[in-house]
Amino acid sequence: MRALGKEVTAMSLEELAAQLRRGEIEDRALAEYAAEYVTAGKCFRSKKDD
Amino acid sequence: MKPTPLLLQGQNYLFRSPPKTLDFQEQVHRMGMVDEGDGSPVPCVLVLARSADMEMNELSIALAERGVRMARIDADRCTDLPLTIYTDAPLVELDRWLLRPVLVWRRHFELSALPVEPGTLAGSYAVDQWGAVSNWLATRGDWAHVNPARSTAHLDRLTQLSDAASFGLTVPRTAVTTRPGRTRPGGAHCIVKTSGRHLLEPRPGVQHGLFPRPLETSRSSDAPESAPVIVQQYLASETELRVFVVGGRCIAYQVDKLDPAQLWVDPDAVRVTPTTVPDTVSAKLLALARYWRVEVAAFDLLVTAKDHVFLEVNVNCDWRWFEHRAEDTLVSDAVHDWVAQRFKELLGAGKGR
Repeated sequence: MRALGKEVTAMSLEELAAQLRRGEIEDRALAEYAAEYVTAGKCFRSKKDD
Repeated sequence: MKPTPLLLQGQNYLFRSPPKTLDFQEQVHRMGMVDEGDGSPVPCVLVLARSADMEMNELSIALAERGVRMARIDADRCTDLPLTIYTDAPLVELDRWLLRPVLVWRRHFELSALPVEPGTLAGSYAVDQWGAVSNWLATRGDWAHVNPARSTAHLDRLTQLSDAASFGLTVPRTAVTTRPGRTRPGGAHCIVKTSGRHLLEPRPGVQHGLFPRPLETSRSSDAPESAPVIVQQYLASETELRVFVVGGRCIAYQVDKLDPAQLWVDPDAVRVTPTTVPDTVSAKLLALARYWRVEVAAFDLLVTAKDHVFLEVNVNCDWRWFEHRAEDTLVSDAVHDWVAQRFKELLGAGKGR
């Protein structure tokens, strides 16, 4: 299994989610996603829908 | 030349929602980081939404923490989606994953968000196809649904008012009119509000707000509006409540603001604090939720000197806005627990086999 050309070990969803919550992501691509997610969360705080 | 519709005048709220993948589970599966199992169909929660639905993005992480697979079809990213839905088996092939939806939740899957060229045949075609298929997915009988579309699709604001009144809740006097300048239900002071959605999306990804606003008392134009609006009696209130119903439980916030539009145009000036509602009121709200068959919804109530007044219910409700201001996660926690629990109940009852 590969991500960004680097071998990664498949994990369970629980383990990956726990890594995200703890802010201890080792995979670079996932760390980038996590940073984007935090930014989006701040941006959408002001969005009011229903 | 027709004047600008009343509800579009002075509405400066504009929000851009880029079609960006923010779903955690989609991300980790695409990157090949998750143990894929033996290739058997994976029971899942299927969500039809849009990329910027942060409530669903957070649900994706919360379900991952509980080991529950969630899959996603977003209106703003669906036009190049590899998807096959089987009709003779409750299975979906989404990209390279074979999934068995057990619980389906459609919210904010608005066709206006589809990234198509407006006014073209190809655009019209894609919107029509996705409209038909998303409606089928949201009502399919061999899957369970959150807020089933069969019972909520016709829950417009006017039906809500008559149903709420029939359950013993006070409602403001209301008219629907193309002549708001000549209509004053319940007295001179009125509020005008949309009879449709709170956000309009004339171009994919660009959402314009339609806020309730006071109807100017001087307004007496006889020119009909291009579309009917709701004109509602203004009631002096001590405060407002937003009450979330999640799986038979009420979670309430007090919302203090100076005028109705402040929720959108000056959200930082709105004060949101956790509160409780009297048992008699919550009993009526829960009874209404059961009647409408909604499991997750948000009621807006006015608190007047002598009563709680029903304003509206929102089935596609957003709770993170309120939680952020109240500095808690009460609704998120309740929704995540409820969805995970419901999923496990359905799985245990054989719906996931």
